[in-house]
Amino acid sequence: METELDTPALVMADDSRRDGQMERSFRYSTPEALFRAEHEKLVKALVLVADGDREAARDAVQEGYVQLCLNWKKVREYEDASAWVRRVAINRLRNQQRSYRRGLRAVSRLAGERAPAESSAPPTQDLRRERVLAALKALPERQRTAAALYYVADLSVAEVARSMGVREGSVKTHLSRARETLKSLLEDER
Amino acid sequence: MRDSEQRKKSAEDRRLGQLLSQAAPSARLDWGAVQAEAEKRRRRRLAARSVFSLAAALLLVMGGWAFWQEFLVAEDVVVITDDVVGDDSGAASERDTPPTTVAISEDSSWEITQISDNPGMGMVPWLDGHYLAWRSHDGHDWEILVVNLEEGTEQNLTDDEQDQWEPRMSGDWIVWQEGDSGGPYRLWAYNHVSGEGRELGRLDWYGQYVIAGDLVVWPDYSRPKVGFKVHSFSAGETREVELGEYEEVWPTTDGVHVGVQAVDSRGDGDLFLYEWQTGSLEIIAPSARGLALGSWMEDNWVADGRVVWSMLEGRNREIFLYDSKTGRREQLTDNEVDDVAPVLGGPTLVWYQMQGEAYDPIGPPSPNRSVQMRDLSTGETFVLPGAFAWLQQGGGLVATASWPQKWSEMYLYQVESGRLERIAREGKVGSWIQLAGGRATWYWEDADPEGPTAEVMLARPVIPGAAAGSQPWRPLDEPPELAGVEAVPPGFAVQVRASTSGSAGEENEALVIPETESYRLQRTDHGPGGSEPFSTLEVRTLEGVLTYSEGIGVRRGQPMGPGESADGLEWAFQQVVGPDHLPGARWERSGNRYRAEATLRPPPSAEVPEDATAEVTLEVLVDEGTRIPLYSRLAVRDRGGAEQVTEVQRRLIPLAAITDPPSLDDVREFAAKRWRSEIEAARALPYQAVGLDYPGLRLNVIRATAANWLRLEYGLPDKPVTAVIIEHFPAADPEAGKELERWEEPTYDEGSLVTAFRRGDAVVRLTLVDGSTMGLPEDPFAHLGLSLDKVKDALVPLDQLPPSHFDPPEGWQEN
Repeated sequence: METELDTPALVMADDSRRDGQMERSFRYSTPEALFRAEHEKLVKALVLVADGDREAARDAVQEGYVQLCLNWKKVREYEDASAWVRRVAINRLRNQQRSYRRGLRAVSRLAGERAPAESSAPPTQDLRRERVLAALKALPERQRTAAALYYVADLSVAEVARSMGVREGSVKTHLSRARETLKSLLEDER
Repeated sequence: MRDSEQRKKSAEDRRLGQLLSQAAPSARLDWGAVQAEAEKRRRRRLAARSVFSLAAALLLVMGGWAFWQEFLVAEDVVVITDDVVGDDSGAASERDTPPTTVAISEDSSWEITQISDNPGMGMVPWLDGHYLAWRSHDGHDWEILVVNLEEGTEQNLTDDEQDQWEPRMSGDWIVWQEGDSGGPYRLWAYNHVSGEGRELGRLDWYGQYVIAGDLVVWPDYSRPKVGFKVHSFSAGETREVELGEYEEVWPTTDGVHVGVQAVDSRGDGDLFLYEWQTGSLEIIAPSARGLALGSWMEDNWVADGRVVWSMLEGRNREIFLYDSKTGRREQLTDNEVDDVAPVLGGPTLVWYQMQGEAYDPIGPPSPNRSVQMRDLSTGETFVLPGAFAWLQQGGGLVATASWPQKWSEMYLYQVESGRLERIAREGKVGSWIQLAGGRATWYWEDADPEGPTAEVMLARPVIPGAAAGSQPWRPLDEPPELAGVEAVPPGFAVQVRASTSGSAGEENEALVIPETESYRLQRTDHGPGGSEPFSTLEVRTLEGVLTYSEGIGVRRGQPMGPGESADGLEWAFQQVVGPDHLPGARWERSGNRYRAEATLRPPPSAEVPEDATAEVTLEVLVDEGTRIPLYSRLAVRDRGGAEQVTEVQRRLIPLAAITDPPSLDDVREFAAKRWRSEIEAARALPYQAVGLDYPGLRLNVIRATAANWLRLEYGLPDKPVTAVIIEHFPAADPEAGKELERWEEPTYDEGSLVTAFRRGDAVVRLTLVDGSTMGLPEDPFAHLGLSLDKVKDALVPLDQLPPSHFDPPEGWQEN
């Protein structure tokens, strides 16, 4: 179920970064505007972090925006409210993995997304997706998170760093290693 | 992504990004759900301090059940009235014990023997004691052949130029009909022990005679007023009983009584019961409509003085029972589908359930026809596979068959042991099945290129006393296949009831109709630690989605197009954890029940101790036809011993039986009804409750509980936010004293200002929400100038507030 969406209300501002580059920073006038503009990409990225578990990703992202609503007065003043939401969502996803009972409840919603039954000719798209997910699963969690945010959520290295709460150098290292692993595992796909 | 950095990405990076993006399915969230969840948390935070919430939880649990009754159980879909049996047996109603699909045993306990060695066609065997008789073609005409199964001897009872058909036996007597295939026929009886033969009389219609115990009965159309003839073997006497001017007469007997359905060409007429000993004839169902439909091909609808029949009752055909010993008549089914062709043996009732279509006892059945079986001593109802059924005289054994190749799929169900087994052979076409002495006989046709042939078959139980009522659990190498909402057959809906235990548990009740991509889902989330439960009612149809949320009102979601609703349907279907989610589980099977045990370990990426495991057990009862889990129970026990249990029940319901399909109006009506009932409850309280007459605020939430507590929330007219909460507790309630003691001194606590005071016979707790802590761009209450003193001054007894004060808030309409 989706509520009809309006155009996001954006306030664009210039912000100076540590590296001296002038980057645009989005400052949203309401939590809803931020939600409308960014939530889909975040869900898409976190699905990969969650080993393809779309429901877990949706839960985590929803939690990020629920917390945003509850803490808007404080978060709106932050330099990057979007990164704050992403961190909440990523932490939520990690906590889900730590909590088996909660995790299982999330899993229970997944039955509709069980692996397709074996057939003589599975769709090419499904095979490819399975291979990509399997390759991502082979990555350590932080590499996987960095790769998903960088490649799928289309964030910059700086944004990934703020979202993960790590230094940009660490993100670059994670991305570099993830890239090498994925390249070797997905040679045929590319 | 910044442009500069995007440019920096290599072509290889871009390809990798594309690949990963394609692997990640798109998934959008609903902003309304985010808002609702945030509001729920906010309200919980406020209410968590309050013991009020415990009573509210209780109320909502009860309300949830009422909802189930009102919205989801559509006019007794497959259930019958509480007066199922109507006797003193204490039988549970079908409402309490929904039909169970009987599991098919994997191992065979039947020995199947080919009895005949003279290929023929349409041999129609009959079994009684250790004799088996059938008609056998000798190259010229049909003769009667009897086999002594104990001695292995075979005897031709007839050997002449006449055709002899349809042998049937009771005790020492064998009866058959003689004459050309077009009839009329002469009915003969032969005692194969004494050698005595008797001509019983004229039979007008092929095969229309019934034999049981000491009696044989057949219709008599020889006079203007039709009736039946009944012959007693022991008395050597044939009686003619005149019934009246009817088109058709359909008799049966249990060996002592004779039941007769005498009807006109539409099947309307009277149901008679005749007793041989007394010669009494009574009408037990006068002027019945649709009477003959459903019972004219069945023999065993009179058993031990009890009569079962099907007739139109309202719009549907229902089943009735008459007990000649007590003179009582009971209605056994009461639902929105057709229940037809009942037969009775001991406490076992077998019949067909279908939807509106004509009943064809010998032709291809409608796809929706199902075989139902009920134990009248317990009220338990079962669903057997197949679309045709036969019940042994006296009960104890049921045979069923499905049509695909003319009864090629056969099943035998032993009532005592509860064993159901499939008796089928590749490439064979089956026949009518006859049951006697715990055994079954039929013939199997072979599609021989030279011409089809058939052989008489006999099934004998190898394990006569298989474990009563249960089948052993056997390990499975592979986990079972379980189907989801996509497996719901056309023409059916699914009723779902799910609950998760624990303080943070939830209850879900849904009606899902895949064909119309619609559902109605009621959820009650109990929240942690006895905090206030949160209820939603969501209805989805092709017109769109409406959701009622407790304290928020009605919201409209985005309309959807065909094929876009799978996620929602699956969600309402409450799919359980399945085999794919329990890697390494040990699976076992008993019939159509499965169970699994598994130890879940944290994934390598999880930063938790390796021994942070959880023990999981899953039990599933599967519908054999669709593979849909009809019942599942998932128990998860963590290291600390805490256990959470999730149970899900599902029932397949014919669409024709749904009188109240999901409609967006359900949500509107539900919201309005909830609002009205709370207002009425508030006005009926034993103390004078107060409301708030404050400019710019309106009543948005009102809830009264069984403990005579009352909660009112006032907020902005156009936003689902709460500014002031007024809670009432009867002064005599011990909780009232605690509230007073704790909050008498106004206290700022977690984003709100709280105070409590005595007012009349109640203690009032007042909460002013600090709008600046709500996460909104601006304090939404800033313009109101709220303070405790101003709010207290604005408190007004409910009965002094104008009627418009209690109008449903805007949010209760749609937003």
